[in-house]
Amino acid sequence: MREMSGNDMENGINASKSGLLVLDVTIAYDHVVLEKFSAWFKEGGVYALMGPSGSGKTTLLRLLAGLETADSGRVCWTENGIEKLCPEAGYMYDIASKQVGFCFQEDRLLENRNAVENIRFAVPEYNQEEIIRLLGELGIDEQECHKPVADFSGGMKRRTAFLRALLYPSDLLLLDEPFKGLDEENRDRVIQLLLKRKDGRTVILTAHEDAEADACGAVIVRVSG
Amino acid sequence: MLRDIIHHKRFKQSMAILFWVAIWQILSMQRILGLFVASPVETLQRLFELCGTGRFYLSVLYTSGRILTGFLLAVCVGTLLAFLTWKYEWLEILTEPVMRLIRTVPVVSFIILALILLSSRYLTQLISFLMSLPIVCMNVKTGISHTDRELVEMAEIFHVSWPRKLRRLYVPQVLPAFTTATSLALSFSWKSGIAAEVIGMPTGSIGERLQQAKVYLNTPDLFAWTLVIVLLSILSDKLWRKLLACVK
Repeated sequence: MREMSGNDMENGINASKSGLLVLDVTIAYDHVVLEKFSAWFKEGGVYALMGPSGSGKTTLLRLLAGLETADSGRVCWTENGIEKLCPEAGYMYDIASKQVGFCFQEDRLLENRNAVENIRFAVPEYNQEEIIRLLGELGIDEQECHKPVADFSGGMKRRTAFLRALLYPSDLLLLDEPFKGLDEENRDRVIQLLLKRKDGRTVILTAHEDAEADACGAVIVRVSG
Repeated sequence: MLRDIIHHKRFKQSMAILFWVAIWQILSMQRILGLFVASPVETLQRLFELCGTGRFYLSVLYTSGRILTGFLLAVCVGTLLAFLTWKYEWLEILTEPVMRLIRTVPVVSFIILALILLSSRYLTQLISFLMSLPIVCMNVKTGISHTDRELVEMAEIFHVSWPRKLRRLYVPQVLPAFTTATSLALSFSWKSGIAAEVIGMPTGSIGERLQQAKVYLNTPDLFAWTLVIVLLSILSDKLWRKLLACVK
């Protein structure tokens, strides 16, 4: 198990590698959620954000997805050491220029639609058979695939939301608590599929246990608010 | 078996209708009141007589066509306006006084004004349209505003196309409010449209037939035509709901 250190960031940038740079980011609402947070996520790497509840993990993911703005600091994509998108503090970088696959903590599924329709809502180019096959790999059988997700258990919804994010063609895959409510068997299925289908993308997920991060081969990034 | 029937909601509703028909019958049998209130039997007899004439169907078609035209126009314009006022605040501020005016000014004022400005041929459509527009616009806008923000954000993240968002996200969430609003607007269209016809008396309309019944104190005609309007209103509402259920 490996944790991110300050050297990783400097070495990564100096070695002219590509990735996502988060520098001195501060976000505050009525209280400070993130304070001077910095990290460097190497392109194609898997990272696990860890920290107590309320430490700002979800806020950081939302910032990376372009759904939040920072009060100060910056978020940049670096390509071969050169900053490509380097907005000013508080600027929400253009999410249209980078594709982001996001597995939201609250699933955010269309409750009256089935699992296949939910996935095809985001990725219409995928055919039904392929989606059913992948849902099968996640332990959701074909019969269940055609039920409205309102009838799904919490774990089934979670896996459907995960697959939707995974199949979306993206540069960055953000998974907010992808293992929430999953038993060990289903958690392993999710991890297997993630590692099999991540296709060189940068993956950043939030996790509560070291074992989860370890199973994904993720570098741990501590977020302490 | 008998107990099941008695406790069935339909049976109870039928009994309630029968109760009020009995009250109607009793009132029509009173000496003085009976002169002005046609009995249920007289009303039905007159209705069957009317059904045997071609003029009846022409009047029904004339009025229904015009009322439904006004209503459908209000549904289209009201929905579009609801969307635009939801998207652009300045447009909401701009249209708010007009909507408030339409809601508060008595329908008769609009009818008289329309008669001064327009031919009575277009009166029914105009009044049905005006009375339905604020109902559709306001309720649909409320429906759009209550669309789940989290789902909208999800759709934005995945760059879902507008037609797909509209079909899968907005329509299912706005449809309940849309159904309630349009159903209410439809009943308003009938009421206001008929009122406009009674005052403007376009030739061949149901309103004209009602006015004639009043002039000649022909209460069976008055009651029969009123029953026709009620039935048309209920029928159009049922058909409209069926149509919306198909969309769902």
